[in-house]
Amino acid sequence: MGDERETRWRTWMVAAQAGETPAYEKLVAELIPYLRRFVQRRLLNAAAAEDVVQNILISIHRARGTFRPERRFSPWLHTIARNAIIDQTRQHARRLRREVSLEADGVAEPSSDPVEPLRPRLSPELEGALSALPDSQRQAVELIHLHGYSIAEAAAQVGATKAALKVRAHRGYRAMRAHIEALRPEENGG
Amino acid sequence: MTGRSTEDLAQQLVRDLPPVKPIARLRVAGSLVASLSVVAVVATGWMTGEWPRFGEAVFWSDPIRVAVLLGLMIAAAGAVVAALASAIPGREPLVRAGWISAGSAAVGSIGCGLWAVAGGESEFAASLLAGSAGCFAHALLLAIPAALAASFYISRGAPQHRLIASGAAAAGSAGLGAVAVHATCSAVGSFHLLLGHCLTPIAAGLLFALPLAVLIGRWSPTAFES
Repeated sequence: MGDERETRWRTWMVAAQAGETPAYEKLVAELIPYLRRFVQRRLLNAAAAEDVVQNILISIHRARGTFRPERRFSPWLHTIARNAIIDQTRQHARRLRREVSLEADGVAEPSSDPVEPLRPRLSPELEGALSALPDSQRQAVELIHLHGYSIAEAAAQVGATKAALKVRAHRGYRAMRAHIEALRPEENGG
Repeated sequence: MTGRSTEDLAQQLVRDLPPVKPIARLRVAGSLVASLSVVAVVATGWMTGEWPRFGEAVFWSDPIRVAVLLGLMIAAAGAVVAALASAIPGREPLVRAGWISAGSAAVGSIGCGLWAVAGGESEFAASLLAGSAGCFAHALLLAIPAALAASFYISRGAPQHRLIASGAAAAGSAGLGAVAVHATCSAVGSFHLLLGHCLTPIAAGLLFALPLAVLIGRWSPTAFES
């Protein structure tokens, strides 16, 4: 990172810590293309790059108090960016494991898309059970169980508390199970 | 994520910009943690009459005891540095240095304890364990203020692995407590040295990483919600 840009970004971040919106706006505007390049160079799953850039921006926003004005900006920025990429890679691996597990259970069809889908393709009965849920429960189940977001991330996305989201997901999951069991009377001996 | 564009998100972040105070310098936080340990030692000494025996020649006459003291000091300092630095993105070299020095010093300290045990003193395990538990508990009590201060600092930061950071905080604080206990304790048993003093930081790190991680989570400022 060039010295001039390093100094400029550090100055803007210090101003942002003081609540100066114009400086923060300029900083974020310059960071977005930089982070896009940074992430695209490192992430195998190119489809998720924009999500990672957004996660990095949120992390920068949340952690802006941890930047010390006398320190260099680039190591701070790069650590946050790398951590977000690592999180994304882990999340992607978790999602793939879940897909494989769903396929092994016979409830999901393997994806044939060349680009990774945002969530595993589900069997018709699971799709039916999911679509029968109320919006709030469906959203919670999709974010946590299908997209692989943590409770905290999913709660932040829908603007709910973690406890409320857990309850919605749990109710949704139970309702889906009941829906599927009702469709399979012979397996339940009924 | 939510389907919104990155530019929309950026606008939203810019609109939500309350001023924040930069996190305290690491050296300030480190000094605070160390000072709280000293305060705990002084308060305990004042209440119980047990003070560090640095002034006694007999304390320095045993090379293993001195080596254990040095090992515990380095392990405690390294773990505290690793814990505090892990709260700040970009300080990974310091975190690594803290872990390496803490790990090597802990291994050295335990090695000294084992060497003393292998040196062969005949002691009864039961009485040794009882005494060791006392020293262990004493070190933990002394560690409480430092552990709380370190956890608070970490909660203000952005640790990538909260559990590892809290484990380091627990180990470092207990290490500082163990230094004080080691300097105060007049027991000479080698098993006691190993169990009650040398293993304290590691045991505390394993035992208290989770409770401190929960505490750090509760103290963390509310996440940005979009």
